[in-house]
Amino acid sequence: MVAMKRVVLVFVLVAAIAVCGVVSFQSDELPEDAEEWGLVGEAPPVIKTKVAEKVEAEAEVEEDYSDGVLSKAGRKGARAASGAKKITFPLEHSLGDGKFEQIGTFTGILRTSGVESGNERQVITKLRLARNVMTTAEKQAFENLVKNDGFYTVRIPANLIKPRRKQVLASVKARCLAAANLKERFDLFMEQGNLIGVGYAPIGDCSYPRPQVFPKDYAFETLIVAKGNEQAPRLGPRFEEVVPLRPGEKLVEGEEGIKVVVEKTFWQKYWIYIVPFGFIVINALSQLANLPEEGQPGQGPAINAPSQRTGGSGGGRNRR
Amino acid sequence: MRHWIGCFVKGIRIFGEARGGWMVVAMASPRLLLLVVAVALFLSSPCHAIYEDQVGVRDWHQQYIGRVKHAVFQTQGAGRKRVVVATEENALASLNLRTGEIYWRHVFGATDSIDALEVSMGKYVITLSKGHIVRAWHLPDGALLWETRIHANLGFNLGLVKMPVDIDDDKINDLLVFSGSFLTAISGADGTLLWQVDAAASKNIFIEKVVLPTEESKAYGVGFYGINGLALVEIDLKTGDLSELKTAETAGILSTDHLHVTKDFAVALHSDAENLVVALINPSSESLTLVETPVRSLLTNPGTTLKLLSTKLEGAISLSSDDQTVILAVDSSSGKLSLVERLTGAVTVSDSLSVLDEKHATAMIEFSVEGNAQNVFNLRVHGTDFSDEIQKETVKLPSHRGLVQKVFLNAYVRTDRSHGFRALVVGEDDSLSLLQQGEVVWTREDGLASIVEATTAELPLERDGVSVAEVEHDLAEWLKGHIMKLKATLFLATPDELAAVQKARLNLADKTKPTRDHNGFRKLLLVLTKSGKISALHTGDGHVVWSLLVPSLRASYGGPAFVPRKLLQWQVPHQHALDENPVVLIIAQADPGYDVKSALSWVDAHKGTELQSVKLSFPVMRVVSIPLTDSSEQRLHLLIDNLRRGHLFPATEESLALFLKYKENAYFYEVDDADQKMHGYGMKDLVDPNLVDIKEGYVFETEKLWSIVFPSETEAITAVVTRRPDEVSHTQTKVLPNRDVLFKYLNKNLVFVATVTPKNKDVVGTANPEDSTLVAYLIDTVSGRILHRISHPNMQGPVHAVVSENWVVYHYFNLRQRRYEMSVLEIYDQSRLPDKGVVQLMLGQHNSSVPISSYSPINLEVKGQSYYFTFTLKSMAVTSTAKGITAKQLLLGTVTDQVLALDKRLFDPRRTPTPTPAELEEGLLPLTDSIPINPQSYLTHSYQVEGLRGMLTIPARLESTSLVFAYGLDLFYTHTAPSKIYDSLTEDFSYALLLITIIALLVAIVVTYVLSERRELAEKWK
Repeated sequence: MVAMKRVVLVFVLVAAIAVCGVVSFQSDELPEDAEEWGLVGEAPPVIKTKVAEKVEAEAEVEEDYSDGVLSKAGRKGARAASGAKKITFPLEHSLGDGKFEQIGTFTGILRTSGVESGNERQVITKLRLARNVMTTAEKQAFENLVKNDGFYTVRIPANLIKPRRKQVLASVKARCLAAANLKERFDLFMEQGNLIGVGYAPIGDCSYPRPQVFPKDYAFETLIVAKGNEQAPRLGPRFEEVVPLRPGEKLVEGEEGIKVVVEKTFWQKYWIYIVPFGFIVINALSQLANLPEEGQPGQGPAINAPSQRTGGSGGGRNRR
Repeated sequence: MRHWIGCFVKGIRIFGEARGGWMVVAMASPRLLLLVVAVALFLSSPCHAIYEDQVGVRDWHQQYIGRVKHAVFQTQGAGRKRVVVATEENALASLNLRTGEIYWRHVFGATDSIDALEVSMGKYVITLSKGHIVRAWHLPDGALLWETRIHANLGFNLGLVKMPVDIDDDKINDLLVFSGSFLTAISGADGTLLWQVDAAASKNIFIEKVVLPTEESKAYGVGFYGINGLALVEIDLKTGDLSELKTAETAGILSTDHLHVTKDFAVALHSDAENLVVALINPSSESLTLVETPVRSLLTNPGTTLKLLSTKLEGAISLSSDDQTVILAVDSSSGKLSLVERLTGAVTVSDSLSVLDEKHATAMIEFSVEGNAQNVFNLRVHGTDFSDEIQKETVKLPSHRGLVQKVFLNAYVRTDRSHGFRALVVGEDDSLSLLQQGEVVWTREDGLASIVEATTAELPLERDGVSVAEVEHDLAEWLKGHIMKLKATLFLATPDELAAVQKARLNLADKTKPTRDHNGFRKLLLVLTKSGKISALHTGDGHVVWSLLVPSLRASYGGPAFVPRKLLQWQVPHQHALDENPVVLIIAQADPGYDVKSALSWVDAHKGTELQSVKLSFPVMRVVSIPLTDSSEQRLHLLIDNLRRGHLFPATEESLALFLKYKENAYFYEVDDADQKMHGYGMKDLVDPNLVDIKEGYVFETEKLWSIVFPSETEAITAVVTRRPDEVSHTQTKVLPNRDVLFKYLNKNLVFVATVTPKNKDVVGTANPEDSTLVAYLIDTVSGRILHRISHPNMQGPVHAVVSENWVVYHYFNLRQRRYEMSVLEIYDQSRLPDKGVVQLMLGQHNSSVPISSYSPINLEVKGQSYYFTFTLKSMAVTSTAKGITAKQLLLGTVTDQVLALDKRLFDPRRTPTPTPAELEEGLLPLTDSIPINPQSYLTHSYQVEGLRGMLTIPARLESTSLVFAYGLDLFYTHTAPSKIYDSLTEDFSYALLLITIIALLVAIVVTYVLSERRELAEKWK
């Protein structure tokens, strides 16, 4: 019975998630690492160029898995100060002739936090790309690029929030892209809504010599990875913290500051007394053991004595 | 021992070559490698110090001062004869007039230029820096006596005048400083401010010059009055009171470049250079009297570029125009001008020197004959009215000194009680020479204080003609030397013998031989200086082997002057080492405003002659050295112009054919500091030579492949560092204690870029820790991919960095902790992780024959760690060895102008506070929060390399040793062995002891054999 209930519950949950996804048209995301990885997804053929207004629902979903530790009040405050906004920016490409044309649109969610504290941070998440379908002329130009082993260049504005004149460029050999069957990967290095650099590479090895392969169907598969927020660990006063001591070590405060001193074991401290004492004891015991034999003159040794002597003298002669 | 290890290392090399590359060695013999590393680690210890008696055996140190701009002689009195000089490198020095040696020297900061220099009371040197710092130095020892800061108007004429009065009654005459409108009197004894007046505020005059008339306690300040007049003000030296202005105006506009003032008159030139205006200074008259003289009435052909020279002449003025120098005498009562001399060609005139009884002498140096190796100059000394010639001499200077740029005249009394003159001359190569009696008494190579770039060249091989054997001692002497050494080791030597041993060590005959040695210690250091001179220094003792003032870079009449920028290896003969000489390429940039934008010059590195030169009609923005050489082993170079076109050199069909095959793999990048961007370019097609008007080299179009845009509000590029292109890595793996393998990410196109927050980045102490962030990037310059980005909050520049193999070490300032920090980043290739173990490494699919493409996906692991560091740095470098087997040392040029060598082991991101026994065994050091500095790790030991600017490391042929050349104002050279010398015996190894031991053993064997034979015989008889 309980099992039945569980199955139903899971089914309802899955259905609910699916419905939600359909409503917000972006259901195929990978929630577990959505913060770090953008999104793997095929290109829907629709381009959205309009900047969407604030989407409260989006923001709530976003905060749910990023700020899970926040208290309810805190979350409310954060929501009041920060905002989540959908942004779009164009992807342009050049097929070796130096002219750039828009070929797709990136969409993402811009989250602003810490406005009231003056420490404003802007993060763009959930990036995805909608690529246009290539025209026949473009396909022809791409094939020419593959033939000439030329470069396929892409261009993205440097300011993602308000695209201006500054552009970030990246190129890849068209043959690499064709060999990888148009599986592409964008590594976007972002800082506060600015795009610094883009790593554009095919998904697949591209060593020299590059074979001349033409893509079958011009369907790009895109992987977008947002990077660049790594911070170096702060070099704090780490040695003022508790230094893990090994067994037998202790801290001693001396003239030159605090030192780690390895405490000596009993044996290390007193072996100098124990060893001579041991010798004395052994000596004494052997003395004691020998005493009764001396006090009781047996025949054994007397009989053996001559033969030993002869043996000894014989040896002596040989040596001489 | 030497032979065994020598063979061992050689064995690895041969093995490597047989398998077709060094990477194979790493894979096939990791155990061998481990052994080598273990031996290296075993032999290395944190202490790399040398003993006192080893100083000078391998290292040398030379001191320079730079191009002299002021000189004051101090030859009176019983003290040592000396000359005090101030230089363009902001150095103040006292030189021995007999030898040119430095008695003492002070180097001021980079912005603290010396404007005026005087010697007061025969024992104080007074300097004026930037118009507002007056310092007094004790002449005998150079100690700073006092320093005073005064008000100054920057950008105006500055001067320092020794007053003939003593205002504060301390028996020392006081000083007057004028800078713009401010007149300041300071005490000659302690620098106390006595009075200060602002002439602009009270009398509305900016003073160009102050002169002292013959009468006491009065001075005249002369300046421009408006744009067309001159003004004079009388200064009461006791109180600083200014009299009413005496002014006079002319019809035309005066040129404010220079105003020539003597105690009787002032001379100015009209801005149209048509008229000369003489103002007569007459204390009795109420106003200034102006006398105008048209230039054309004095000179038939005054030329187009007439200007007044700043030479201080008495009763005369000097003008220059085109290639001529004119001296005009001025009549101090009527203001009439008359032509005295009109000289064409290179002429230099000294300031007038006051000799006895109101008499003056002036020296003129004319270039007379250009010789093959020596230039001949005429040195003439004229009397007060320039008509008489007191002294005339012919002086020969080596042709690499060029023309004379400056003359300082000094008088002395000859043995026959007559007056003699000597002259200190500054050459075109910034050298300083003393001329006396027609001879060059001494010369200082002070051009070497301003090295632009340095590189090395191999010395010639030993040939039949150059016999080296005769230099070496015969066997008996060799043995004698070694026995002396042995005695010294066993403390049996007398002090004389000890001195002889030390002398023999310092003057090792084979140290300075002009041929290659087996260990590769003897090389030529080629240095290019600011004056356009290239010199070759021998690494043995630092002597100059040859010098060349590059003819095509010298300023000529009607042509531009060139600023040398780069020195590149053009031709390094390996196959043709016996019959070809190495060649270097000099790239120089022309002064703006000419059709010629840059120049190339090729110089033979053995002979020191210019082989060829080309003037280019485009500026060279960047040079790409292509790893290809043509059949004569000339390296291909691509010069990138301002339109980002590539020009291929050498411009031959052969090199073009070679390059066309390589073109696909040629990339370059540029850093746009102004816009905070980086761009990468690839090569496109060859431009048809008929279509472009550029005739030099084959021209290639380029295409922009990538751009990186740093957010200009938060990041400003502060450091861009690359790996050195000729660096050798011995192994591409790092074997961990658990026998796991880490693959180094060895990318020759890796560049390290550091950015800092632009706000307040240059002003010390104003940056807020919260606002400042330093961001470090690792970028592949082929694909423009950011391989790693890491931000360091609260950090600030300046950033110094060094990139080598797969690691970067960088130095910066921690604003929060107010300390310097250093960080290391090590990059490992994770995509090859399946071949993890040593066995898989050997049998795995990856090997060195598979080319690595920048366009393939990568999976990198970047390990990083930071440490506190004590010093501010001026420069950073890393040692380099022939095969890259030896461990590396970081060379840090500290703020104290010393070179500190630290093991790379200290900068290992795998360090932990408590390493496991296996890690300790591997040589991993326990983690400490700051980098420990052992005083013995200074390579410069007791020396300082004043004004340290750069360091050059050169691999020797001996794998353990790296040669280090540090340059700034001074030069310093030494050897360093980061893992100690494991492949040869130390130089103090006693061969004699070894020989004696062997002989003693042989004797002992013979004796014991005989004894035992006898014993056996005796035994048998029993």
